[in-house]
Amino acid sequence: MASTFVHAGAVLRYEFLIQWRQRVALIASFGLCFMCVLLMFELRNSLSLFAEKTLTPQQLSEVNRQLSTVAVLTLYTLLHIFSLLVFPIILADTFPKDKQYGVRELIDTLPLSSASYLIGKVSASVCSVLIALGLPMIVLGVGWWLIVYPFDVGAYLGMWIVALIPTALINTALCVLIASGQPTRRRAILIGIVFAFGCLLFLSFGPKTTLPDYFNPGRMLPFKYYLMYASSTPVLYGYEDVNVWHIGLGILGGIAEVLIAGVLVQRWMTRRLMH
Amino acid sequence: MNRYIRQGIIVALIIGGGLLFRPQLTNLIAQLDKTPYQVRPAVWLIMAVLAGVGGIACLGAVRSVQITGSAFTWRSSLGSLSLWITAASAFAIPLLMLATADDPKTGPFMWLRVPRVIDLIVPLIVGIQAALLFSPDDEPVLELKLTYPRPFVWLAAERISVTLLVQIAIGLLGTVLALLLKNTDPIQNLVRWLPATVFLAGIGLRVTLATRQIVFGVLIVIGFWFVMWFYGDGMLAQHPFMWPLHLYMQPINFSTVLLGLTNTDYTLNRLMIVLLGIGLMLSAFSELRDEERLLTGAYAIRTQPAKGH
Repeated sequence: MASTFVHAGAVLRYEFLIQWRQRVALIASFGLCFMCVLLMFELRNSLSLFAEKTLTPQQLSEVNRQLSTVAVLTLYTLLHIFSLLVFPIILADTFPKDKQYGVRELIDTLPLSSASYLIGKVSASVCSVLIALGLPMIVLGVGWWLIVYPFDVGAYLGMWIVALIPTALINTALCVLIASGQPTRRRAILIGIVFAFGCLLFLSFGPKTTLPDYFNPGRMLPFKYYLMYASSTPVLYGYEDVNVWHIGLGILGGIAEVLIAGVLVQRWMTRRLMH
Repeated sequence: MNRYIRQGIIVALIIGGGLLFRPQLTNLIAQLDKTPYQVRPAVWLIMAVLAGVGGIACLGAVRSVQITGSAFTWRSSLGSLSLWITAASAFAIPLLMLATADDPKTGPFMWLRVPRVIDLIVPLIVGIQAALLFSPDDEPVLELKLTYPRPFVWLAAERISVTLLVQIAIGLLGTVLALLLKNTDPIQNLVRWLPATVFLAGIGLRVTLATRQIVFGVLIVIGFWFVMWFYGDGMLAQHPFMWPLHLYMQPINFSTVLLGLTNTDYTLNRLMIVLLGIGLMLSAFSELRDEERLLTGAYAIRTQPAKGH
């Protein structure tokens, strides 16, 4: 068991280095930062802060802090779509890359179990996504605090840590696993495109939260939560409220999907090696 | 000077200049927003330059065919197309048209109408296919292909032509279907989607060749498509002077008239987008002339001749 994780660590290291040198995740991260900065300046102009003279400075500051928090959380829906569209596509070639570079046969001769190989590869993609999302999280947070107005840090971090980062990680891991059997990078990226757009199609939701919603590949629950946070329209149409527990269960549903996909791919890889 | 240092200096100069002349730039943008027709001379100028470059490239292509003869490999280029994506676009257009035929007010397609189905699908598919068409890092037996007697540019030119022809044929069938379903003006419909198709094909090909990675081309195409489709009209409402760059500009209507735009601007926008797309394709082809860069990813080192020689 220990050797499985040591081997997985080695695979993680080499795969992460390849991904780092390809600059794909880094450029996606810069793109996301750029988008955040643009949106920040656009929203700064449209955000009308309170200047009511009947309120005390403390009350005024609190009201404006709440307004600023709501405004920064409205960005979630865009960030959600970005993470659904971008990360699965850029990391879909994680497994096929080895075959295309001609090192897969060499790896197959090593005393490396398919489970270690799988865990290492998926973990490297997870690390890349974490780094790619960490930078925009800091840029948007610090920028918004300094340029627009201070906000509720807990709610902001909650948006990233509870909703956005798990969404991006689950969908990237799923896509990496689904595209793992492809012989070329080109075909893997095609699978990534189909997967990403398929997930977007699942983003529509109904008034009530049902069991399939927890397994929705579009990770609809956090999207619905922040959409309702930002706009009163769904509430006006009688849409059922979504709370943090729904999001948590949705994330667990996603993790279950990744585990099932992982077990299936590992079985397939082991069988392929035996024949 | 190193290429990256040169690019860094250019970017630093642009950002520095922008910061230094920020008040003047803000005033200029505010003034242009009020009178967006003022950018027309610049648009004419850019279009003239692009048309000139396109004309010269056409002459070069004719000469190249005369010298090399008709050494085309159309069947092989057709094989480089992804059958899945082509089939997906061929099925998606009639399906979406039928789903939106009675102008749904609710449901997942309430934001879509029959005339806009083609410009939703065809440009995106062409852009993605163009990005996937040719990447030096993923091209099998590239060294062998570089030894062919015909110019190497032909390979990419053939592939992009085949992609455009197939998808334009699908788009035209969709246009006929839209005419049958909703009696839409076919010419107006064609003018809606064709320029965006050419532009996204150009940018997909250009970015993949510049970065040598398919994934960047695909991402740029999806990014442009997404931003322009969903936020293009918002961009126009906020900054009307950016009308030449709106990929999905719609025929002049009440709201665009309020922004100060006319039918001339619409026509110029469509022409500008087509010419920009062709310009991007030509600039992508020029990358293919440097065989050393194609093979190694590095630019050829141009050594200075020693003094006295």
